[in-house]
Amino acid sequence: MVDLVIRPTIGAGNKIIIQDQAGQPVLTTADSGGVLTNVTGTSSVPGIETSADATAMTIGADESVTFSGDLVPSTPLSHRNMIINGAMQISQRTTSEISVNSSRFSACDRFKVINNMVHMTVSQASDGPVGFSKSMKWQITTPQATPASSDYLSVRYQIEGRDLQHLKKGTVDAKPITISFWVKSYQTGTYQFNILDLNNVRMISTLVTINSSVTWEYKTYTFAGDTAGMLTDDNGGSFLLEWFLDSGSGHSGGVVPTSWEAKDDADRRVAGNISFGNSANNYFQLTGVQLELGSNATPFEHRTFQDDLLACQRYYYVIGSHRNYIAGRTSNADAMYCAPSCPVPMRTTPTVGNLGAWNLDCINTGGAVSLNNQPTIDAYATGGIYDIIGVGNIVGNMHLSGGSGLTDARVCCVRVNGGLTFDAEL
Amino acid sequence: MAEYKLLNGYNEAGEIYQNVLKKSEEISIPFDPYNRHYQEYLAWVAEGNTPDPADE
Repeated sequence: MVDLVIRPTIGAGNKIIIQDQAGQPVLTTADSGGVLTNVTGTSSVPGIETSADATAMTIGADESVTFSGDLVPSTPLSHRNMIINGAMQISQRTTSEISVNSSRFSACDRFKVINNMVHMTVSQASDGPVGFSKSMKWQITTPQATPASSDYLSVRYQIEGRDLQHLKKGTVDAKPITISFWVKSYQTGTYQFNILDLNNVRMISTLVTINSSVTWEYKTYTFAGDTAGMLTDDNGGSFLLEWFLDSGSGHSGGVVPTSWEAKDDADRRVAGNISFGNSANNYFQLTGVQLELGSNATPFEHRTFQDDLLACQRYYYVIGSHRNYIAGRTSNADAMYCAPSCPVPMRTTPTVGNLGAWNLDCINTGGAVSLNNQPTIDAYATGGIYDIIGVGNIVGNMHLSGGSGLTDARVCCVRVNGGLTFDAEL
Repeated sequence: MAEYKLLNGYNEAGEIYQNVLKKSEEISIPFDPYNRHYQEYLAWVAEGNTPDPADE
């Protein structure tokens, strides 16, 4: 075996040129013979097609890559991650809640535990793989080793249909999507991860294998595009991501659907999966959750704390417990109207709650008057238009009542002594 | 005692609108079809339940 040497005659203008069968150059060197100056056509180098005559891409001695023209990728360079708070940075409700025995949002924003079978502590843990300072943790405190058929235990995340239109689901151009996340689990074995299409009642799934106990593991799974069932373009939930951790027979016994199919509850947690709820030793942690377009998981798209916070406040927002004031006007002798502001338009008319107890005063020229009734909030509109042509950066018009001695139609403000919560989660 | 109770609110035009109070969580739920608490309330009504009436 010897080298094949092709050397042009020494002199300016003498190059090595490789031509195709039509006599067109597909590879041309510079005069020195050391630099490729031209690669043209569709078959000169597998996977590369170019029509550029000049240098479009330069690889530097420092291994940098420079493009002289635009870089046009097939998947987004920014905002790749369709998951809000995937790094578990934001915990507006609480950083830890004990004895959770129902389905609720707790600790890290946007992730909901679905549970009717155990007591657990849900927390934002200061623990994660390298590059992540936070994770979300579910720790069993009162186990249930023999769940009833209707029992279930899962972690869910929902995405609005508006934010999924680029998947082209339900068309011949439907795109694949890839989920990636870091997971730490006390138990080894397999859990099931499902994606549910809520608009068309369809699902696709994969098994997640935990190889080592109490060890952060990186997982990534790709799901084919679904040519059936378009997603509704509105502010309702269209995709539901589900880490199914335990259940009774009502959600088990089927087969893992690795292709899109009509939703079947029996397929959501197949036999042989880990029973997360069977021991108080068990815990499950997630962070670095990313869902993106395409067939490859890219590095996690870290966002600033503020970016994640504002994105979360579309779904949940708190007016804190340190005496906040909201301008308004009195109504008759016992009530007032006000319009609490919010950092971003909320997804829909929010539910109004409190941080412990209602503790509201109407402050006016006559002093402070307690407003003892539960507030009400006017639902602005139907049809999913609340957040775009509805109330904008106010949660809506709120009516507070239960006072006395007020004068109608006067400027006043409500003093929020406790905290008010506005919940527009999916 | 039902799990829910209707609440009367008034808008700036003086017209009555309704929310519903979920007693166990003490939350006021607007009648917005995209609100998940309202969806849960509708499911509860569909099971044949009736909320407590609003105060006069």
